[in-house]
Amino acid sequence: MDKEKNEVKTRFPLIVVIGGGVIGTSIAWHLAKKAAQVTLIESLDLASGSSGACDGLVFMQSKKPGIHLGLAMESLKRFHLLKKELPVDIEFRQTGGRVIIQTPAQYPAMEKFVREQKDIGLEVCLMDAKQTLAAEPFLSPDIYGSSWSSLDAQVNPINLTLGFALGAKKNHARILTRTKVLGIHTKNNRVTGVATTQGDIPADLVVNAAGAGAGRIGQMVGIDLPIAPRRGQIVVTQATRPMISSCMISAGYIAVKYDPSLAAEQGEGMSMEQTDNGNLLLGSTREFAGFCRENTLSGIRRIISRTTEVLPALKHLQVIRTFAGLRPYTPDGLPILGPVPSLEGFFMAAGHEGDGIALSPITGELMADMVLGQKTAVSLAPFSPDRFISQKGQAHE
Amino acid sequence: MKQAYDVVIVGSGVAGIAAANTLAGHGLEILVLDENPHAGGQILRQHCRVTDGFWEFDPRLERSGRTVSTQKIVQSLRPVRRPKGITCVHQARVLGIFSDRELLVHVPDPLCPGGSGPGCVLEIDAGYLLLATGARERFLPFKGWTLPGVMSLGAAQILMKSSGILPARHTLIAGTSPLQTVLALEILKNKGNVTAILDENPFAKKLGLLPLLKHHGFLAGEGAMQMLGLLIRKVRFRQGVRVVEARGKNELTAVVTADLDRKGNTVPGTFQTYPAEALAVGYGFCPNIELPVQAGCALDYDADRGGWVVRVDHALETSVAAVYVAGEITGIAGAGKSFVEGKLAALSILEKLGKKTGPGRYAQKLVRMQKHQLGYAAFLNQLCQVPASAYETIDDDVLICRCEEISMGEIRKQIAKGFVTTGSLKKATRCGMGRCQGRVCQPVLFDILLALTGQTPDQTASPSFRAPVKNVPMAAFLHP
Ligand SMILES: Cc1cc2nc3c(=O)[nH]c(=O)nc-3n(C[C@H](O)[C@H](O)[C@H](O)COP(=O)(O)OP(=O)(O)OC[C@H]3O[C@@H](n4cnc5c(N)ncnc54)[C@H](O)[C@@H]3O)c2cc1C
Ligand SMILES: Cc1cc2nc3c(=O)[nH]c(=O)nc-3n(C[C@H](O)[C@H](O)[C@H](O)COP(=O)(O)OP(=O)(O)OC[C@H]3O[C@@H](n4cnc5c(N)ncnc54)[C@H](O)[C@@H]3O)c2cc1C
Repeated sequence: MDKEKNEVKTRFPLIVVIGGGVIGTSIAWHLAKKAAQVTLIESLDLASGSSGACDGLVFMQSKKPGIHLGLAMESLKRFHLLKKELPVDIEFRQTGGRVIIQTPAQYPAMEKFVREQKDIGLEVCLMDAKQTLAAEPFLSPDIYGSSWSSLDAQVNPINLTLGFALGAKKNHARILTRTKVLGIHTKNNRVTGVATTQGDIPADLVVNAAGAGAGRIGQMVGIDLPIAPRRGQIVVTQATRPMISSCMISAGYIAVKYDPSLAAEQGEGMSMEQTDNGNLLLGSTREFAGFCRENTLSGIRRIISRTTEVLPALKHLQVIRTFAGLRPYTPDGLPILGPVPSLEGFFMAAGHEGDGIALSPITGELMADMVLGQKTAVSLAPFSPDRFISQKGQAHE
Repeated sequence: MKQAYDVVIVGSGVAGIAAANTLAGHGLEILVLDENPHAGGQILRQHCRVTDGFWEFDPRLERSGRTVSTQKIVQSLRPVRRPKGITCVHQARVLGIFSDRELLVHVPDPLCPGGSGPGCVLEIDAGYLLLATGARERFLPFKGWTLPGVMSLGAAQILMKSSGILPARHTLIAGTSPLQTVLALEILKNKGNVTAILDENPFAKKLGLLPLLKHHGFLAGEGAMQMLGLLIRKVRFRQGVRVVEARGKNELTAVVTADLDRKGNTVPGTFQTYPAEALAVGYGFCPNIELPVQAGCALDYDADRGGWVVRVDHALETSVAAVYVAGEITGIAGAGKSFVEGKLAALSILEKLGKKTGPGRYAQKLVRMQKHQLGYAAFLNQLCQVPASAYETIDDDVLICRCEEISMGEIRKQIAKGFVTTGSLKKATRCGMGRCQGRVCQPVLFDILLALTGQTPDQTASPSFRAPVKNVPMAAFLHP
């Protein structure tokens, strides 16, 4: 076994990344830039999972202060560079973002929230209804105000994913689409390759970036991780003249994100952004419905009634499309990033739930460093799979 | 309207009407939905102008031989009292289908609780679902095809049929579709002028396809009679030429054609210019498969049937249990096949429900008629098909996706980068993400992909669709 290990060390490791979403492609791009030998495997097309069925908010205000927000801030910095580095226009715009306050009860809560955010150095301010309407004249006069941060931004998530992939390809990564991973080959508790619909692919290191499907990949090697699909539905309107100048979420959205028990009373909240093309993306729902990606009439209705309440002019537009994506949910709201103790050469990079787009640049960078055994700019310890590995998983040792 | 029906039929064209006829009188609750203001679909719409009517076909129609012609179908349609248990709702658009045959339907005002301008969206459960959504026209983009004055053959036809309006005083007709002659006759009937018919198909190709019509002598005769009618009226007729450009500043003023060689490639230096006020052009049909795809029905690709069609068994049941399809969406073959399949699908459903359907011989006869009608499909679709070179030679500056303004050049660029499946090319170009959600460009994009990559249809992958199939007002969702 030692002899084999030495063999691996004396040549460049073959790395397989599973999943062609924003996380997998970002990792592949960062690895390829470091001249690593990477193969990315995607069962369908690039961005056909959650990364192609989501909003593109890079929202700082919505992140939990602490390691979560810290990671997001690091990611935000990198977006400015990506804009220049990637071979696709990722439509990154720092429009600023607004959290809309819709009930008197939310106001004091948001005052507290803003104070907390300011304390940690985030540029956030609270605006009353008048100030808010002066900035966004199409909003309903019934709102109670908003919190505003000029840091918040938006990006085109599909272009971002394709940009990472094409960038990786330019740096000689191999990208296999329409190729499904069926199993992981191991020997002496070490990864040796992956079995796919297109045959076996040898690998010294495997990164599981299969999004909501990452739990299933884990199960292939007996690792039980609590990643579950959490459906989000979105409604798309026809393209129209600018109706909002920044991206928006509701205060209820922040509350429910951290305390699912509020979901029933607060609702799932709402989000709105207007794309470069002029379409409005209206979101979203948060539902556990297995791997079903269908929309539902009640889901569409909830989204439309919440968004039209805040932005009544929407009522005059047409719906051109609805879709749904599966967020990779984890119980503590944090992604799972790092090696698993029971299988050498196997890494997790999944579970970003509703923040994968925003967190993709930093995730790719840190994971590439970690996989190649280099020092990471931010400690990944809080994101380690260890926090979820059950007794069963450790029994492998 | 109720929340659930034993059978829901989507589409009341020839297939939908034939199915509703057959299902009536068995004590079933049946709902027929159509987005048009009247029943009839593509060929019967001007004969079904009563809002609350119901129609049936004279039973002699199916005894009249193996070939059921469009003309005979039109002639044997007759209004009847709406049978008990049947509800017909018009201007009701099925926006989507979810699991377990749950339909998302946009219905007009009078049917909405409380009434509201933009109508409302309802959910309806179907015990059995029969999709008879027909077909739409297919296009081959050329320079200037988005100019006002350029229209599809069908659009010109509908303009005259439903409002008696001529496309222009002088109309130029082009493409590969048999609708060319139908439209020309209709224009003449309405006292308009046809500048010329610029048929892409050279005489030799038509002759070569004639053996496919060997059991359809009647249809060949019908076509010949139409041609004769046009020649007598001295309509100018050119064969083996393709429209390569429509010119004009704000609207159409001239059309440029090029001659085609034997393989259907344009011959350089053979350009001819025609002054024109209106150009009606069409390249055959493609099935409206959006709803069956959403319902989860498997597709097959068959160029001889018009491209992607819904996979069915002998009873016209799809790969999804209790979802049936009939008419053009199983293969483009004209009204006769729609009629036969509408009846067949209805019989299959009745049988599943344990209803008496008459002697088995009757169903067997319908199956034979269906097979026979399918023979015509090969002729029709080969006639309409253009060679791969027609797509390969589209100029870079020609718009393919009109809504998002995506040019052929952009599509070529992304294909070269490796986006060679339907889904990935759409993501890379935004082609089909606009207002019409790909109704126009999606089939074109697929043909471009096949032509430029040389891949098989399966490698290129069938398209996916999501609700709403067509745009719907936001406000319609606010009134439960
Ligand atoms: C409605 C909605 C709105 C959202 N809004 C935002 C937002 O505004 N901002 C934000 O930052 N995030 C947002 N998100 C979250 C974001 O979409 C996800 O966090 C992110 O896309 C996850 O990326 P991923 O690469 O991990 O997963 P995915 O994009 O799902 O990629 C995983 C890929 O793995 C592939 N795969 C799975 N199994 C296999 C296998 N066996 N073999 C090969 N390949 C396999 C899948 O096909 C898939 O393409 C939203 C999500 C939803 C649903
Ligand atoms: C533009 C055009 C012109 C044609 N002209 C002729 C002609 O002149 N002569 C000829 O012989 N054949 C013509 N055809 C061929 C025609 O398709 C067949 O002859 C025949 O009418 C097909 O019958 P069908 O019942 O299968 O479909 P159709 O007659 O097309 O009926 C389908 C019905 O489904 C409805 N529908 C579709 N989607 C939805 C939805 N989402 N919700 C609610 N309702 C829906 C439509 O409104 C339509 O009424 C034409 C086809 C087209 C596309």
